[in-house]
Amino acid sequence: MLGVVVAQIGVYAQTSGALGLPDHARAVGLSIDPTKHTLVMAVHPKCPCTRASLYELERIIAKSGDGLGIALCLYEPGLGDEDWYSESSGAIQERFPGADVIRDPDGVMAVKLGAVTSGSVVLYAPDGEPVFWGGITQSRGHSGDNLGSDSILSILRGDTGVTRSTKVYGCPITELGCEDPLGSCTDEDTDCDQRTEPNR
Amino acid sequence: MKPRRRKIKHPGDAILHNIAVKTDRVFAILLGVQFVAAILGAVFLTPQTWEGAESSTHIHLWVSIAMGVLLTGFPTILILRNPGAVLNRYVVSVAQLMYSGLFIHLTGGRIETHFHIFGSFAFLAFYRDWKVLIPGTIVTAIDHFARGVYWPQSVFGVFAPAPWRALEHTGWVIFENVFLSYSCIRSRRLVCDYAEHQSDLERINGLIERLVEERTQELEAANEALSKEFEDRKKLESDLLEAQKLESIGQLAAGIAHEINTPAQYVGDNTRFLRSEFGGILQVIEEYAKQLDKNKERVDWDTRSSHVRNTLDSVDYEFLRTEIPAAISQSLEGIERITEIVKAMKEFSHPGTDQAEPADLNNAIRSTCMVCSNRWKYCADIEYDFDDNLGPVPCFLGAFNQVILNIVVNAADAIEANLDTSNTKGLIRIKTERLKDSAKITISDNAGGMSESVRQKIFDPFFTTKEVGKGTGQGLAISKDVIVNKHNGVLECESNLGVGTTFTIELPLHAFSVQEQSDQMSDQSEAA
Repeated sequence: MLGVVVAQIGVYAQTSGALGLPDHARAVGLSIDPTKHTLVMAVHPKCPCTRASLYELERIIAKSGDGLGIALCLYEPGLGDEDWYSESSGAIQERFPGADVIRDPDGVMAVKLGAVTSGSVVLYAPDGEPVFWGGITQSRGHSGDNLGSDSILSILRGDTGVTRSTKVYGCPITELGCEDPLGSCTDEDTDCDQRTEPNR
Repeated sequence: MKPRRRKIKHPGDAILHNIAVKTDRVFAILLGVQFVAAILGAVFLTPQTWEGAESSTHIHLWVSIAMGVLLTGFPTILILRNPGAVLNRYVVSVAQLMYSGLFIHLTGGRIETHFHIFGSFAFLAFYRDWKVLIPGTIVTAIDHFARGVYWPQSVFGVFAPAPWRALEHTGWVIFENVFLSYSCIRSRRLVCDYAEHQSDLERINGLIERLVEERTQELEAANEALSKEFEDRKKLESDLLEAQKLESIGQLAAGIAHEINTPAQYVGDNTRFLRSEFGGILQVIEEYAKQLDKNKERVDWDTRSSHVRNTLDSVDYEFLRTEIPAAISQSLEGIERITEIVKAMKEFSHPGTDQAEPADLNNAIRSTCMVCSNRWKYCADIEYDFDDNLGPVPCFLGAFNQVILNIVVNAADAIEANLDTSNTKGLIRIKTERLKDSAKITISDNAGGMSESVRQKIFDPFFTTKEVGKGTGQGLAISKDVIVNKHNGVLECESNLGVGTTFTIELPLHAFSVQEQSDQMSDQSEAA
């Protein structure tokens, strides 16, 4: 019985979320600094797993210095639900000074980013081209070394041959499907955006 | 069939079992607390999981409840059923380390939470049984190896740990457990040593208690004997004092007899004189009566006067007229003297009382000196300088008289010895005075004093400078005991060689004697 419980929790933590292909920054509607890379994270404000993603984001910021712009896309259900946004935006802004905190009713922007799972990030090059997308934790709610963060930092350093996408672990932001290049989506995700390349 | 060998229980087993019982209880509480902590952690950290705007209870909460029930419930039941049993600690070890895994997972693999593992092993070491660390170590090793393979992030905090990483983590646990095991073994040995020592100590204590009991009985017997000896000694001292008094009386008897004899003699002589001369008086009276008889033939006045005058001449009336009153007065003086001596004797021979009673010391001193007057009057004069305001002084009068007698007789003896060379009568001065809290009696003589070496020994028992048979050497020793111990007073001697000696006695006016106080105290303690 104990084994079943342990297995349950293991399965839960290791199940990745849906991930789509991100659009170009312009197509998404992001105004990014053309002098540096910009990292955008889709955040479900109430998802407990996202705490680990935010912690990893802090580590990436600390290691990358000023050469990285940050934008956080805060999901809120429905239009004009002040509670979700107001409850979380202040804390986010305080935690990430200088970051753009974007209100995302119904996760519309998250869909455009392909970041339909809370904690998903998209790294845009200065020209607005997405160069990395996926998660920056290795399981649900667990911070620590992970492939996503390492890839982002490698890209920022100008390394080549770097992984461009990783699995993401977190709460789903929206039911809108996506094409999961890493196989996270199931066959039932019929509404997935079938794009194989980001929109230019 | 061989008789079954009974396992001899080590005295430390009871202590170790007691430790196991207490540690079981501590863990029962700790597991309960961890159960609550796991649920609270899940409630506060991961209460719900979200899917868009929809939420549901987070699996962490269910897992915490389920694991809590299993990890706390099962060991607790075992502990409650049989506290201190060996099985309990192994089950507790497994449960505790599984809690470590749960907490590590609930906190997202925080490195800080890994300290729970090390803390858990430290707690398990409370059992003082190194074997209890093994199940926990196995659980930790399995957890790390299994999760290291299938889910490395949750335990190592890295996504692709090196293969030896699980080994390293387990190694650190073993590293800690080596020391804890050593500590457990050492602690267990100490407990056993302590128990052995305790057992020895109890045995020795029993032995000592028996010895103490025996010694107490011996001491009680000795104390009883000592008390009896003390009583005997008190009685002996009392008897000695009485004996010395009797001895003094005996020694003084001849002198007293002489003192009484002298007035008795002249009272007798005078009485005989009165008896013999009474005839002459009667003759005169009868002559007067004859001359006054009317029936007698008438004779002229001259003839009658001549008869009377002849009679007066024949009885030597002038002699009788002066000597008879003198003889009567002298006889009365003699009788008074005898009365005084008898009275003094009576006062001196006062049997004494058990308690100090107020006494007129001036009178007592005078009586004592009178009793022994035959010892000093031929060689010395006594000069009294009494303080009329002395008032009554609490004392044991019989014993006090004896002290005065001893000192005065000693002074007289010393003067007498000195007379051989000087032929001049000595002087004994006795002075009394009332001080603030005491009565002071000073007896000084001009007998030439004594050397310092002699002065230092005069209060020693059996020390005497008198010739054999004259002094026993007990007088001043008894005097010291009487004044210091019986009266709580002071008896000192100052002597100036070539001049004389002065004895000073001080008696407290309001204090009981030391002996009396000790008697009272012992009475009180007996009553208590």
